Amino acid sequence: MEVRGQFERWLLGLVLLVLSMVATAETVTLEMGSGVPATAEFRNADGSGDPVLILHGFLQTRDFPTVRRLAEFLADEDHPVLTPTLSLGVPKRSQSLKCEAIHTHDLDQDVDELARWVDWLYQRMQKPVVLIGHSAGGHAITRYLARYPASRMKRVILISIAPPAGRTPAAGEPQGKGELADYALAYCRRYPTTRGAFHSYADWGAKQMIDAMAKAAVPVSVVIGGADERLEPDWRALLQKAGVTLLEVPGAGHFFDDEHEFELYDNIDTLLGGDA
Amino acid sequence: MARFSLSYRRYAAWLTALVVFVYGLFGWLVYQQYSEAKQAFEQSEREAAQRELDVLLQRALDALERRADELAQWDELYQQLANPVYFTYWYAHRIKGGHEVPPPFEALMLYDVAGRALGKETASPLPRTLAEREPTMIFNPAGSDVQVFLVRPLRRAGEETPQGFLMLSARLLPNVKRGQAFVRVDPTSLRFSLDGSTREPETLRRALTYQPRRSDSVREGDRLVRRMLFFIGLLVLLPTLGLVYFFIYLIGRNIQHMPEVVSALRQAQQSGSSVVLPSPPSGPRIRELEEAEHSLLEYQRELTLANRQLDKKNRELWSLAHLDALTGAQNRRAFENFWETLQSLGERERRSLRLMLCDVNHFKAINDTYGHDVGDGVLKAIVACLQKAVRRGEQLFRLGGDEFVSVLLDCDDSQATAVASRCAAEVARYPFRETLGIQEPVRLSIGISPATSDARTPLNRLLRQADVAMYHSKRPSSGTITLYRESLEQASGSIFSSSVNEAVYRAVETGEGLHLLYQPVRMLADNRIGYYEALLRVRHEDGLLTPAQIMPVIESRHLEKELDQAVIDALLRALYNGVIPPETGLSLNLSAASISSESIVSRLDAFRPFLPGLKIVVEVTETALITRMKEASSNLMRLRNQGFRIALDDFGSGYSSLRYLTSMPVDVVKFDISLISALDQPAHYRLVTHLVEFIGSSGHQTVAEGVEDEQTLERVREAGFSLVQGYLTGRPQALRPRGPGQLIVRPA
Repeated sequence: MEVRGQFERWLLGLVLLVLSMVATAETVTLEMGSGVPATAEFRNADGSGDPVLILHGFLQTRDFPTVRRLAEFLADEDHPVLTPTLSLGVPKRSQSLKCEAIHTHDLDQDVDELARWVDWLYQRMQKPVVLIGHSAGGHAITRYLARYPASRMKRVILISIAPPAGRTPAAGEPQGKGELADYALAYCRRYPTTRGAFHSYADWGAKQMIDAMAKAAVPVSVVIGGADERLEPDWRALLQKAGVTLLEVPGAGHFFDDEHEFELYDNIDTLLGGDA
Repeated sequence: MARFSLSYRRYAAWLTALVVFVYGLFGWLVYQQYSEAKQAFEQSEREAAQRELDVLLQRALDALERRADELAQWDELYQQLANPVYFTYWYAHRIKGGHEVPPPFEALMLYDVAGRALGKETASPLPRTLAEREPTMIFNPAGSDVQVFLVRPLRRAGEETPQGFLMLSARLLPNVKRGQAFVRVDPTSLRFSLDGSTREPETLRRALTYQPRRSDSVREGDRLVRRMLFFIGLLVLLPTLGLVYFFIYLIGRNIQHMPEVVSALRQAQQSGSSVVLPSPPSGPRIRELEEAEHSLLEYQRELTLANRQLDKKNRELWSLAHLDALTGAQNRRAFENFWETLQSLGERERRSLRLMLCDVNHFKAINDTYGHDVGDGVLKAIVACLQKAVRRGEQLFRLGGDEFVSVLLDCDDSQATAVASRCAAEVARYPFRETLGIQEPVRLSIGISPATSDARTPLNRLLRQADVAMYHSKRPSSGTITLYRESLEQASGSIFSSSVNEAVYRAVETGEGLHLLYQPVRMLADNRIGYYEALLRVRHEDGLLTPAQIMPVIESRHLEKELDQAVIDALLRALYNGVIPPETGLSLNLSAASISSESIVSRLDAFRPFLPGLKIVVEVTETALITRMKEASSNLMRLRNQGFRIALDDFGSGYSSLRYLTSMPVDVVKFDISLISALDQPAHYRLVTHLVEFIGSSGHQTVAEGVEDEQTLERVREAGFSLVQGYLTGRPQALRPRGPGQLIVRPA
């Protein structure tokens, strides 16, 4: 039976892949608050399901496989799906930003861009938006939950969310405003950024995220992989304490690779009320 | 013409040189062909290398442009354009120290939309301002390399206006070489020689120099051809040299054996011993040379046998050459050899000697009369007599005919005369009548000449002196033996002088100098001229030669028939010229040889037209013994039948007067002058008278010769002769030709 289930999932994936090739998509450009234009991919604008916005992880783009394939899946499930790429200070950024690049962006700018995209999607679809964030994308969504009213959201689903790990320079943080220093953040061992920008990410920790999720006016669900090494041992307990719907895919890693990808889709679809 | 000849070693050396030359020529031709093909191939390779280099250069330029286009979409560039606050930091960490610039490029610079470089100070070698606004590629010379500058407007997809500009620079050669497969071009040889800045790739292409990579196939071809020529050379030269050495060894050993064989044969030939052949060389032998050796041995045997036979024949030949087969005496050649030996000995010791020459009086007449067998018997008897008479050790030689000579050594005139006397005596005592039937006495005439045994006395002169002396002995008034002295030379000079000989020969051969006198023969009854006797003379610088001077020359050379022929021709001319008066006649003397000769007798036919008017008398001298009596009689009979008269001349002075008279058709008998001159003797007169009566009664006319006075003429008349001839009745005279117009007698 297990073999049959895997076969069915593979067959489903193949069908989705074929359908994705014919699915319509458009690139949307919005000028952000800093004046820097950013782009997003909008799939299945005519979908009848709840509009979904999927936000990518740390320094990534909407083309990150986990994000792209999930967007395609949901578009195929008749959801209008918007996948923005945070500008991170780069006009129309299309590439993942290297750790060693200069990082002048901060979490607030990211949340601001997220808000702009939520507004755009809400206005476009005239429906509350389901926010899905992968990894650090969940950090911006939880901060968005804390800052913005829930009227434009229907549900929040956070995939592989984990508290950020940051480290200040050994020689001490720079004191001058706008002065760059090599911090360490998330998986970046060398992360040139300013003190303010660093702390905007580093200081939005587990407590802040758990509080945001606990206080959220919309349902918050968290999908984690059973084998995600980035998850701290007590993170599941904290999530459960926050009252979120916690779904764990056994054996899946941080990016839900391989067959775990479909289990992720199953869970997302379940959370969105679909049949899959 | 000398034939070309070389030793076999030299031939082998030439053969080897020829092989080496031919192979060298072959190798050179092959290598020439290969070189031409290689040059064509290398030309093709150069063209291919140029094409390859063009492709590689274009590929490098395309790669640079492609990389520039890719880099122009790098987000961080747009990040810096949007917020150039941290450009210096970014440039220092991300560009210079961050290794973010793609490897082909060495420098990078960002410019704002106005073309101003971002940041205030950077270490970039690129210019601070940019005039270009379109994608551009500029090439600047940089030593042997080219610095490529690429300009790209930085704009996102769908944007019209660029957000800024990017300039990149790179060294071209490393990019041409990097990651490209050079097949025909040596990448280390690439050099640019660009004169100035350009944007034209074609100019760039022309400025790129290179060396084609030496093709492996060419190198391999070179190696293969050289190796092929080397191994073929070995295959040709080594066997050739081996064969040449083998043949030198084989042929040389066998050929060198041949001289040893020949040497052994020569040694055996010289020593007369049997042939001891050297042992043949070891190892293989050559059949042809073995056969040649066998042939040589066989030839040697045959040669030895032939030599022996030749020796025998030589001995026989020597005998034949040096001994007279008839008499057993040594011959003239032996005499000449003996004389040479004597002269060579005389060079050491001069010896006085005498040359004794003798012959048999009237031997030819004896021979003709009694036949050759008797003549041969006479010669054998003479030799026996002479050998008995000469002293011990003195040799007798037969020079030819009836002439014999002996060299009397250590001898003076008296001793020589004594030897000669013994010789004459021995011959005189020999019983020729009893043994050979010869009625007439056989006598010798001997001449002796003094000499010395040195080379200063030529043999011919000695023989001539002895000959002169011997001929002197033949004179009626001389003795049997005559010692040579110079006075004899003068006496006989006319006979033997070369001028006399020449005059006689010329007269015989051409008729030039031949002179005829005519002596009338008168009829005693009425003193009319019965006929003229033609008498022969020969003109000579000293006057006319008489028969006494002419005939010894003729007889010594046996020119009797030739002389008669000349006389006949002269007489015919005289007859045609009307020399002979009509109603007379002409008599001519013929030798014994001519009478027996058919050609001479036939020649007399030319006289026949004159016979009706003239009396033509053919005189045959009784003293000349006729050898071929049968033919002579037949010819005379033939002439007589044709109308000729036959006269027997000198009747009574010879051997067989009556025999001739009875056996030959004679019309006229001319009594010898010795009979006429003796008519004053009564006994002789009676005998002659009876003879004239007897002969006349036989129907013959008789002629008395030598009548020079009236008394003799009277006696002749009384004796009953019918015709008379002599100075009294008519001297020999020349008759003037009367010319053809005055000819009374003409040929019928």
